[in-house]
Amino acid sequence: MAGAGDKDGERNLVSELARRWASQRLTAVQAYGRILADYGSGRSTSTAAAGALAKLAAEEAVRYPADALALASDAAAALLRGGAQAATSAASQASGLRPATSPSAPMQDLELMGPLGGAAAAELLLRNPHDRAVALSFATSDFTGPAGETAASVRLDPAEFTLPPGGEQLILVSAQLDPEAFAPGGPYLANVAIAGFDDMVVRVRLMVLDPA
Amino acid sequence: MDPVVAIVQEPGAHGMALLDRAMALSGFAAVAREHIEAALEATGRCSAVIVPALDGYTADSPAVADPLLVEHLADALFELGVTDVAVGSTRSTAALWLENRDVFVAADLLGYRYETTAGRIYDVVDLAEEVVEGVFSDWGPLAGAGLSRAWLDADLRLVFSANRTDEDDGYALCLSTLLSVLPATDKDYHYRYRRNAGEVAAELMARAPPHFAFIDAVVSGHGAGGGRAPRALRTDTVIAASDAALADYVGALKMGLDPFVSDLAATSLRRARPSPQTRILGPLEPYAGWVNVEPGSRAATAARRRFVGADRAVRPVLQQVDRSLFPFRHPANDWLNRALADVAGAGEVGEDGARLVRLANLWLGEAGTLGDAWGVNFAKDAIRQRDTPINIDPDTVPEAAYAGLSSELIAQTELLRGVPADAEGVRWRFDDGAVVFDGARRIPLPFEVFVEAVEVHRTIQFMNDYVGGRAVVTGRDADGRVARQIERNLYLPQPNYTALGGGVTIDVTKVEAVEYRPRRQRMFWKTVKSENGSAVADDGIVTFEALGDDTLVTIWGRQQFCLPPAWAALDRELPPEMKRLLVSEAYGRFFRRTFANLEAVAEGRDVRIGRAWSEASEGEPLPVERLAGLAERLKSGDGFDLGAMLRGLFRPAGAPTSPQPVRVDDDGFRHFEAAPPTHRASASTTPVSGILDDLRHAAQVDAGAFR
Repeated sequence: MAGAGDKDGERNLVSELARRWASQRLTAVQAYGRILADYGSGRSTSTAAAGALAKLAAEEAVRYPADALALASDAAAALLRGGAQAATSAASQASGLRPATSPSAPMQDLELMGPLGGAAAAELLLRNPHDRAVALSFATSDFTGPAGETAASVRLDPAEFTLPPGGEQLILVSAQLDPEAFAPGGPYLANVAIAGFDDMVVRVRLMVLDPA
Repeated sequence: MDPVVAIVQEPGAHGMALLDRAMALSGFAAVAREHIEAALEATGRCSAVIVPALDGYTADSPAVADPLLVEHLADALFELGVTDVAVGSTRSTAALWLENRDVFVAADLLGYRYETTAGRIYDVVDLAEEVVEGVFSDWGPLAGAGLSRAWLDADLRLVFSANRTDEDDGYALCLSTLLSVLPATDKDYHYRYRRNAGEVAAELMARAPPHFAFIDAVVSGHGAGGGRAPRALRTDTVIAASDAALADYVGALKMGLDPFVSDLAATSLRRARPSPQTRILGPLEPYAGWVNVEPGSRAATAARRRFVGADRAVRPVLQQVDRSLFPFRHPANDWLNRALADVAGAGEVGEDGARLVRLANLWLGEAGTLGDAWGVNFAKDAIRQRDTPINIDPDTVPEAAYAGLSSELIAQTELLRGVPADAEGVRWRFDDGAVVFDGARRIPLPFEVFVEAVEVHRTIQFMNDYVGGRAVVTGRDADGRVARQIERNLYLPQPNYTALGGGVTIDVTKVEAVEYRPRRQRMFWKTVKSENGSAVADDGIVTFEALGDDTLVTIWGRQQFCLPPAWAALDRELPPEMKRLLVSEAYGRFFRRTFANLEAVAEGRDVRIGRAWSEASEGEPLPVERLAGLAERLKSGDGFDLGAMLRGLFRPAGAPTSPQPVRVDDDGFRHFEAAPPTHRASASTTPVSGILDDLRHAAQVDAGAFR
């Protein structure tokens, strides 16, 4: 998620660009108004007014896309600067840490593969970034495959535990590839919700191989 | 009978003689007799409704079909066996700003006598008085609109147009006159701004077309000002046609115009385009001395028309009106019209005034465009929702198009395999010019509760920046739930900032299939048409799935939108990392807002952006009425200082807008006197600062500051 600083920067950027765009366009509108006012008050003829309008329209035709491009370039450059800063910040935070899954990354993908009639398994490392202990447990959905929903799901071990602040836990994610539920091929997809990390979901993708 | 158009033109000939010859040449009697005999045999009576052009604002206006000719046609109908003839029309937009525009009064003032020259009695009817609902398809441009029972049930339906130029469409002939059968008073609001006039006319032609059409071109209304300032010109012609669109086609040719310049007529013309069987009888040479509305004026009027508020304000001001017949309802319009209408119609054929109006229209059009761009980016609730029909015939979509959706789209979800989700759970990658993406969110509501509140087949309507469209159900499952659907969606320009430089509304028509399972609901969609070419692809899957005590919502999509040329040029020059950043930002924003919308819908809140069109026959209050309300406020002395507000808004360019520096140093820094002590905002500036605060708040909401 974007931090407060990112949001402030985004607000400032939008505000600045909007102000520039509005002032550029207001100048054009005022110029149109002056032409009409001059014509209406008899200070210029219809030919002169039409000529002035044509000239202004031609200038605007060039200026408008140029302004738009300039604004877009500035917006993109500002975003790029912001992105680079964010990347630098993330890299420095990550240095020295084991790669682990935490609720700051809400969607995680995990791949399993195994022979029909056998089992498929993979490990998932969970880390608690909070400054308090968190009790964790799991809720799973059944696998959905090419032929539709199955009656099988994944198993997680341990099924529930408490993670202290900054603590990590290795989870074994496995599935029994029962021939009544699966056929060789796939992919079969299931989801795991982690109670305790309330935004987090692990998407499990399973490929079933021919029997060994 | 093959389609036929008869053009009878003879200098100096009497109009009735020209009409007789046009009826004879076109075979009108044979067509009419067929309908009359069928009706007499069935019921013993035969009714005919003639809808004449009544858009005149002066006595003897050339923008009106000559009542004597209309009554002569009524005589001919009686002689053929018709038992009941009625002249029918409805109130038009002008009835909102002029007195005496009710059908009966206007008909009387324009010369209808309720008795033909031969002494036969006919009736004048207001076609809005008895309206039949449900006449039009529920997916077409007139879905929900009613239609006159008298017109619908008439044994013979006839339209009798004047022959006139028009600032909106180049010409206004039979199809324009035909809109008079629709019941809403503010025709401009309901059938031109809100809906596409060409689609409306075509739908009307499909559902209840006239059996024959006539154009009174004996004395025509030509000139650069169109119907706003018509100039009479003797053209000594009557046109009779078996099809109103064909009549318009030939009428436009006689004006020296490409018939397809009219947006109102073009759709119908394409359906009635002359074929080898079509007989066009009589001279097609353009009228001598004819002056059309210049193309630039048509374009400028179209630009102004897109700024609905301005267009509604300006039309009463510019219309040339005989006040003794049709007084203005509002003194402000009367005063402005006195000051401007003659200036706007100046010149022998209105050409001087038309040039001035064109300038003003371009200015208003520019202001409207700027307002729209501002709305897209910073004030989405201020923009108008879009009311569009389904633009493919649902009956032409085969079952295979629905049945194959799931396998086709699910296979593509694999394209994201290996792409890590970002901090917001979004994955995306480029694929053959498109962006393939997905995102998911756990919503803390039980599945049963969530799907009860959020109907999965309506999900697209809750997505970010959805501004209008329509869906038509084409199939239901055994429980009556929507299983097949055609949907047209319109979204604000994407990304929104492209609206600042020509970005267009995304307009996509989709085929959709919905699956319902006990623990999962899913909709698949595939784009099959983009009316304005704004998208190559906009396909997707949305899944609602039970997961523990929550509902997991997943949206997968494949999108390829077309950028306007300037943005496309910029896009090509972007460094890859910058482009990735922009795309990530765009999809992150899309998912944040779409998921927030779904949660809001689940909580029973309305998430639709934009303001809805009024369903009232009179549309919204006219701008002049709103100004009158403002004037009342000013008179009431509640501290609102309009003068101060205007001075602030229209401060001349170059005028001091901020304190002047007392010194600029060598490094370019500007030095100022210390500011005086701050004081409380005066009552006069409070409203302005309130507006600015609102705008700033809207911008912050748009930027995601409040969530």
